[in-house]
Amino acid sequence: MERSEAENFLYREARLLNTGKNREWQKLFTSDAIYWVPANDPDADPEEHVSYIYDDMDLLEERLGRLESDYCWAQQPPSSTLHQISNVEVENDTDEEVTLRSNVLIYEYRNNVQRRFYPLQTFPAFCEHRLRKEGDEWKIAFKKVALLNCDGEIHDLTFLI
Amino acid sequence: MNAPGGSKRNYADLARTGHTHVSLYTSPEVYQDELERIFYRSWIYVAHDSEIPNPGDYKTTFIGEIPVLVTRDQNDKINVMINRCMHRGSTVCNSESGNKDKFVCPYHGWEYGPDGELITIGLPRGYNDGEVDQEKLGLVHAAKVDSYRGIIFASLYEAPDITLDEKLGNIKEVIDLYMNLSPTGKIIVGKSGVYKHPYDGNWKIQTEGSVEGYHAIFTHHTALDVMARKMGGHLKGLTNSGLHGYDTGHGNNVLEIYKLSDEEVHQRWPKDYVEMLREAHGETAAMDALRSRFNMVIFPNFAILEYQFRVIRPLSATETEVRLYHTLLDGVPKEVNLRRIRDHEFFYGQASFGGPDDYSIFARMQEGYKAGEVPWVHLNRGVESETVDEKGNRMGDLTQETQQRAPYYEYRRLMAGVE
Ligand code: FES
Ligand SMILES: [Fe+2]
Repeated sequence: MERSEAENFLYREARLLNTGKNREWQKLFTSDAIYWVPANDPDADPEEHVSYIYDDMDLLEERLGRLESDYCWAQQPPSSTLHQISNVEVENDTDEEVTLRSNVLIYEYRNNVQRRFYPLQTFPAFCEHRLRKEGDEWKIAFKKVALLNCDGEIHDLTFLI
Repeated sequence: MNAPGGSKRNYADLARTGHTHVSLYTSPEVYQDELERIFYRSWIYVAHDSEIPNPGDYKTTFIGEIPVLVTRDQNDKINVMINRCMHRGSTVCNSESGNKDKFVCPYHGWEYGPDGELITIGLPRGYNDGEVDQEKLGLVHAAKVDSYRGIIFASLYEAPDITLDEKLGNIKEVIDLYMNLSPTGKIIVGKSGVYKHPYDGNWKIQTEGSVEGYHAIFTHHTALDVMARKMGGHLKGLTNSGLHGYDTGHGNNVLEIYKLSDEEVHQRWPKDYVEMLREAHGETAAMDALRSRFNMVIFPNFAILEYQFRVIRPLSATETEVRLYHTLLDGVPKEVNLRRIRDHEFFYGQASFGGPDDYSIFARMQEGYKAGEVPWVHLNRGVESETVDEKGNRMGDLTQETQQRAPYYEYRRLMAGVE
């Protein structure tokens, strides 16, 4: 995969996230995919260490359902995000599978907050996407977002990362 | 009580049974009084044995706002010391945990052993005789340290007026139930992860909130919806009665979340694990541990919930940091701990389906508390029907507020000297 194609893929994913097209974003994943945001240590084994997010696609479906419900209090009012992508590298490139590494700077903001002065949050992170070919489309089989401050004091991560 | 100075507020009147005054959540003077009378002079959770298993291991934490160093020294003794160089006050340790044979102050090179002893001072010849007494300049130890089942508590400036045994009282048997989830009776705290969760609100909101039996079906609508579908029947207790909240004395309290039948225990946990516990603890004790889920608060700064040790750290009258230390069970099949990891991250943590909703509400409560002329916070649900069980615990239905009223008896005792 050329880097430009990798960038296009990641930019499109970011655009879906940043325009609230969560259900289209969901379709980027394979049915056996894992969506992972580690806590404390980006290299910890997710079977021996808790994560912020360690979703299979069933749990991601529930997560999106929660975000769509009227009862997700932590998302009232809801977050808007801007995913800024850079440092894209292509690894283990075969016809069927490819690994993309990138850096992402996620900005999170909320309009319409009663208390006002909602601080613009920034979450820099190292991303790893493992893509797999399904038909003639690339799909995400594994997405890991290792926040730079994954061991830090964090208020809220209830938006899509 | 014994604290010098402080405000002249009548805390017995501000912390009533069933109503707490809003100033307890907002006033910087009240907060200072709480630090002096509660946090610096009564039993405060600092660590669990498993966090510092080997000689030289240490962790840093806080008692109130004061940085402390918890070490295991070469004699296997646990030390709780103020993380403050005796010379000019720099902290002597700047990381959260690790292993060291000495703590070297970066300013003038004074070195302290894991037991706090002052081993060396920098450029000693500049001191004349009598100017520095090395033997008296070790790190300052907490006035009292004691532990129960590996759970270490300390009282910083003065020995408390009650022993740890008296402080824990009836809640010891609930701690025992928790430890019995492991065949060896041991747990490993925090190695499998810590969520570090700040919120814009007074620390007592979390103390109360850790045993909130009334809110779940409203606040946790989305989480309960998923749990009912994915995880099955054992959650019926959250809306069902027959479960209770208890005040076990000295501010400590317990909320029953559910009690499984034998059949539900077997549905929930793998056979080899149930067998293992039966062999280790006997039929009754094993099944009691497996069927029970409690949230418990050990006033003021500590809670144990199903998968976690929860530690509350006050930052100011209106800011708090909560740490959720995941607990692993020693000696169990891997799938049991894996299950405890996945279940924990489902409900707790900043991206989870449960906790973030609580914390967003805590900040909203604090916002509402700005209205000082609306003086009372209501915690009186079920106060009239509260009973006392055979062990002497005050008791009410789980959605009533017995368990959240419990801290304020001890609060009055420590803040106002009123029994
Ligand atoms: S302040 Fe620690 S050696 Fe001077
Ligand atoms: Fe809650």
